[in-house]
Amino acid sequence: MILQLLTGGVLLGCVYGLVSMGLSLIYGVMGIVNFAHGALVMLAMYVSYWLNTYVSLDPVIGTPIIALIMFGFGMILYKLVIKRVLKGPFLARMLVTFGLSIFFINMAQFLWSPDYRNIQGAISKGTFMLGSVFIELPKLVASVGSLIVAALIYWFLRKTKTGLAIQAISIDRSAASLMGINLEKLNAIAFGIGIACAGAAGSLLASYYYIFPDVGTMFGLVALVAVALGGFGSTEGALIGAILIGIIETLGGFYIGPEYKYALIFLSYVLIVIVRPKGLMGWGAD
Amino acid sequence: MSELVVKNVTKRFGGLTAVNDVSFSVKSGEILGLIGPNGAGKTTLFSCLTGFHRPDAGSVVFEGRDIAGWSPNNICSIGIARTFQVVQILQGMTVLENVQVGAFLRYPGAAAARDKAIKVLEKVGMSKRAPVKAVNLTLPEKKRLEVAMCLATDPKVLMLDESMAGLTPTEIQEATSMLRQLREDGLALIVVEHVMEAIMPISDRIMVLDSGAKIAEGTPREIASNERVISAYLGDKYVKRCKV
Amino acid sequence: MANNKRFIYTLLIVLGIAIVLPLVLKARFQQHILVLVMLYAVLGEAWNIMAGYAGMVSIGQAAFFGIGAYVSTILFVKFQVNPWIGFIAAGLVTAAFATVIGLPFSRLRGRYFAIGTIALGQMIKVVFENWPWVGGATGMIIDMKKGSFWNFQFHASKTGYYYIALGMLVFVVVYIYIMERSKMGFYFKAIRENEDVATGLGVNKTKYKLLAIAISAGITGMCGTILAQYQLYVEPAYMFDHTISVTIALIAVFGGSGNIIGPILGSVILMPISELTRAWMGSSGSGIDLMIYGVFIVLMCVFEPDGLMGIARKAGRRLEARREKEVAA
Repeated sequence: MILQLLTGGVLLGCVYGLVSMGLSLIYGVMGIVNFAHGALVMLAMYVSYWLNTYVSLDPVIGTPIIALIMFGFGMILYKLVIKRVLKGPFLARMLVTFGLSIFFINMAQFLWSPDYRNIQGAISKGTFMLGSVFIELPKLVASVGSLIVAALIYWFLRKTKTGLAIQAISIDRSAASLMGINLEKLNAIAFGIGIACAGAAGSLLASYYYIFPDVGTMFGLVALVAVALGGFGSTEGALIGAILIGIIETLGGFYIGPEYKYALIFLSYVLIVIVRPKGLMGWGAD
Repeated sequence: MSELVVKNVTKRFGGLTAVNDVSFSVKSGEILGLIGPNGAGKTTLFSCLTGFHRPDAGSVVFEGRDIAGWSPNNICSIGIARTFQVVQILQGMTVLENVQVGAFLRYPGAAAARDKAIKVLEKVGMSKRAPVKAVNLTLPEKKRLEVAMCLATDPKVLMLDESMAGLTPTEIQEATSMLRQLREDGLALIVVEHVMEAIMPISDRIMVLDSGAKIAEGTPREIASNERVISAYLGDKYVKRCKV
Repeated sequence: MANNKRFIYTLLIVLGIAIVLPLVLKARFQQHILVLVMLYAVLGEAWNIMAGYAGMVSIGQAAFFGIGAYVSTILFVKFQVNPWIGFIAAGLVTAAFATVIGLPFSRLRGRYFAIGTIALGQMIKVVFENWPWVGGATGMIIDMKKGSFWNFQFHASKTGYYYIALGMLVFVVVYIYIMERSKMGFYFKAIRENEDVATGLGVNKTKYKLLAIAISAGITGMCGTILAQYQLYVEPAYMFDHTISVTIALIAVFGGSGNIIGPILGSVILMPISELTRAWMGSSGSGIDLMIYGVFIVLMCVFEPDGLMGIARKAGRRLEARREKEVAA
């Protein structure tokens, strides 16, 4: 049983991890806590849903396309909004993404109604047994997909020139700009990638998760907690934090009761952050 | 008459011993210069004495109480104040308000605190800047404001961490005469400074730190001719200048 | 000093208008808006004490709000205690709760604190949803009593709630006015600006942070009682709604945080907009009211991060400059 639960937790955690990585990347590069991250996961789920409904694109296969769409959307969002608050006071930087989140969620509710939808006839469906562990294929596909995207991003950050420049910014902004790194452009790219992570996660989730305007809120909050656990700015930390949370959620949901599972996640956040005020691997200023 | 007695204070960060078994004392009406190369542990020593770091070993006794490990606010309450190497002020508040925050420690009433703050600003020659937001000050002004904030808490011991960095020679003159005045007022001063021309003439004693350990202590003249200090830090230039 | 006097006179005139307003706006819906404007003005001021002055940005005020609502309701429903006593108890219990929670929370800085408050709000909601004694997810209904001031219930006209909230607002504004000029206010601001400097100057930051949290939470809890009595029921989904937390922060930021007038201004402008759009768009589920909210927050953060008071200050400065020019000429 414990093996079954752990597997479930890790599978869930991988998807959380993808959402969290984007969040952490954005924070590391431009110091913005993106409270709209969950809402953007939700938007990606709807995009995935509509693409499936109108052009019969499977959400899993469509993941790269949706990630690309969300990347573009993220760049636009950066140019229109985020760029303008970067030099603003702490409260403005903090609340602006809150505003975006409220806007997107209620826009979805206004345009598409609060009804629950789900995608019929996705390619990945069914279940199978692996030893004594019972695995749902869509969840496996989603988490493997998440890991692939996460690996791609890891590769991008470590091996490409642009990626290394982005990392340089998150380590030391002023030094990076002195070295002739174009902050504006890289900020936009980093924000785009961050949102693309949310997009890819949304698309992968759309293959088995119900889709409704508020669906992203929990994903966003859980990702925030994961990032805080891992330490803001550390992408690996975010992934580890997220898997930890996936495990806490499934174990807690089973042993204590499903109604308490999110409360448990938040409780563990509070407990861990109190012991380590900057997260498990966090560094830098507040 | 009060005296700060530091005995065998040690502070480690992981494998690095930032302050290694340092002992010294300083009493009212005395200026103790604290010098040493970058990374010698001067700022860490300050932080250990003022509660921002908890020393791993040793004692810091002031007026009969061992204050090692106390919180910074309690240490400030018993009369020990410090400035920071990287200037730390309340950016969004005015100069007067900055000083008022310090003054409230001994004068809980708003009017009394305000009077005290105005007096302190006069003393450091910043009265004209009182209504300016601290963020808009020049760096030397910010450093001076920081000293004023400390003075407003009526300290008996004042620790200044490179308060004269970046000042012009005229400003250094002003600053040193202010320190002399404070010494006459009966304060005990510990002054960290890289500007040798400023610290050598005003210090009663000088203590030298290198790699966390105290390598010498004595009058400025003794320090200037101490070979260990010269090899560690000073160089011939200053030795000659002080011997004249 | 003359400036101070003018400020107080202006406040008194505004207070006069506020007292007369319900006599003019008599329709039920208008009075509903008036009650909400007042309530959120108080909530915004409470947030202001903690976030605007002491720098601890909370996005979980609904936790305190809901606890306050439940305290008075539990006392009334289970123990037949008069809601006025419940009102005071709500303030005290919420402040006590906030002090206990605040002890670990006061170690957290900036965004870690803010996320912590979100987490807190969500956790408390779950606890109440799964607590059968207080009715679980369905909550509790407050029995109708004869409408009177003594019973803290008003049925024919909602103005009673309005005046209670107004009374609270006056109390809170006077408190903040005094606080701003006192040691406490200076210490709050010092902690907001730079914790290290503050402690270095003798400020006991834990004590003052806890004070700010407790005062803010206590006031917020009492507002919870007012809403509970106004609605005559409590349920977790409503009283602990995350939207309440966000709205409170938004109102204060929109008006301008860290000063007395900001939250009042924010509430006076935003609450009617939100309620009217909701009414015009018919069904409350459409979300368009909150959409407009979202746009407001974004625009505000982008174009005027100091809030409406920031605009007012700038305008004031321009006016002064012009006047000086005229004098010079």
